[in-house]
Amino acid sequence: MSSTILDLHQKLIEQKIKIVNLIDDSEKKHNHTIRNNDAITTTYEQAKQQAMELQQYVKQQKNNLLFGIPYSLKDNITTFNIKTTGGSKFLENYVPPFNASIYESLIKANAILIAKANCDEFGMGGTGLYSAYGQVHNHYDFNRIVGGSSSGGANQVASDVVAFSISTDTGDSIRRPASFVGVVGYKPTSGLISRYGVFPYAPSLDCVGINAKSVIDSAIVAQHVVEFDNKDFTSQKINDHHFFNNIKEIKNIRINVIKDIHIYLDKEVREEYQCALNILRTHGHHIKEMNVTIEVLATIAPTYATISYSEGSSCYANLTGINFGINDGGKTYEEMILHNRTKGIGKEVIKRLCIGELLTNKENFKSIFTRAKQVRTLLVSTYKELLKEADCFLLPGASSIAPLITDVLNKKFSTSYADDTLILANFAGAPSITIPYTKVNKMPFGLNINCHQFEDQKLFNIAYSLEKIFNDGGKHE
Amino acid sequence: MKDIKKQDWKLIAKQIFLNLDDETIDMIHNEWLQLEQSFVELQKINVENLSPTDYCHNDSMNNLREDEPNLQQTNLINKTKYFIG
Repeated sequence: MSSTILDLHQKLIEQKIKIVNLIDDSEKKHNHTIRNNDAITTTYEQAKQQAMELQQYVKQQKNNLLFGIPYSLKDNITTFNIKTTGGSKFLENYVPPFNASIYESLIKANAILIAKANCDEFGMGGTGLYSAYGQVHNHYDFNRIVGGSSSGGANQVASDVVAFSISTDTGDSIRRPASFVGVVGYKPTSGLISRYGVFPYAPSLDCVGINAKSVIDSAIVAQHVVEFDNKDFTSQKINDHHFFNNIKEIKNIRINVIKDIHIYLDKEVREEYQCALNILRTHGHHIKEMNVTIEVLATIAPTYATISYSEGSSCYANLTGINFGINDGGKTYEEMILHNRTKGIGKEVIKRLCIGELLTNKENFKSIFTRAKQVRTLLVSTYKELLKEADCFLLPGASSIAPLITDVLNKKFSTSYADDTLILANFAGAPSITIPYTKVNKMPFGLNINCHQFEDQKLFNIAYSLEKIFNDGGKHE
Repeated sequence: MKDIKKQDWKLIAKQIFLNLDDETIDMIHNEWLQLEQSFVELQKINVENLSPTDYCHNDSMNNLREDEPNLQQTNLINKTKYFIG
């Protein structure tokens, strides 16, 4: 099933394959790549049953491109009657009594869920190494990380286990893994995809998005899942969400880039990034360098840490074990909560919750927390400035190829300012997409494109145009 | 900002119903020391006249009512019934 959604749909309609073949093929590939640890729960039995039932309606589904297409959901997305752990031991037996709105949309489209994808616990990680259900290993090199927190889903798309995966992105959780495993990672304008039933990390930054094999596939999925939702009070409307129907190649794109961002890139990818800019120039696109001072770049990471840890600390005060989650009892309710939380929450999350608690106490609230939110205002202005007189601004998909797991665990690898720039789109609530560009030492490396809020169609058009260039010879190994 | 010592983390964790072992305290403290350094960068920025951004949409509004005129009417009746008089 190394085909795109469009290919698979065509084959289904022409009855060259059956839906159940797609599910069988997915299961084979899942079993073949099982050591990568991409899935926490699989639903193949249910999926096969659904495939049998749907097959008779295939002919009438010419306009429903997701009909019978296998996909996965990050395990922080609520699914009725299917275990949803958020990558946490605390919820190891949690079976939700309701569906997230995004899952409902995909049920309506008759896409077929085959797995709940592994992820860093409650989306807090950035590496794929902090799930209670084990580390996720890169499809291209077992010794390397996938990046996170949406690790399992991106890896499943890369290894053809699924055609697309739905995940969440608080800092770069969909887009950085996309660069590391050579797939597309799309984060929409905040509020376009409902967050109802999705575990939060930092609600002012969280976004539901898509990993897929191509820009077209991402647009197809977005067309189905972008809809206003009464159940999500941050839901936003967009004039036209027919991203796939409206997608077109555009010429003479005005692309801004951050001046000297390449100095924050790993040597291996530095030349490739500059080469990409040259390729775009030769295709008639206009590249303009924009100044962002080092002082501003240096504020991105602490602003993100302050806001996300603080919001996370507030969100996960509900993990008590009383209403849901593990509960081993205790003499008093305080003792019970203390025991349950200490037993069920992983160290990376505990770290963020403790720091978040400290940052929001009386002493630090104004001097750090409020200040970080003021700096966020400045960073949103920076984002808008980067789009001045341009159609988009372009960033490296990451500062390097996927690092080795041992380097990450032994602190030999750390992220750079170039990685931090991906967070700007979350601060601004703006759409952002990472597309595959090339391979360096057989490992994928992507490029990231950003537009103004609600310019998601423009983003898809630009990404489609650039993807075409890199697929048609721009891409090199 | 008050100097945070390793033993302070136990107290902070207690406030959010968590018990910490020594290894976790070390991990949190190391991360905190790094973060503390980066907070210096936040202090360098002039934030005068900058209002804090709580959420990314400046035009945040009650979409439920704008999109559902009928619901708006129903809510209005409910509001009158339960909250006014």
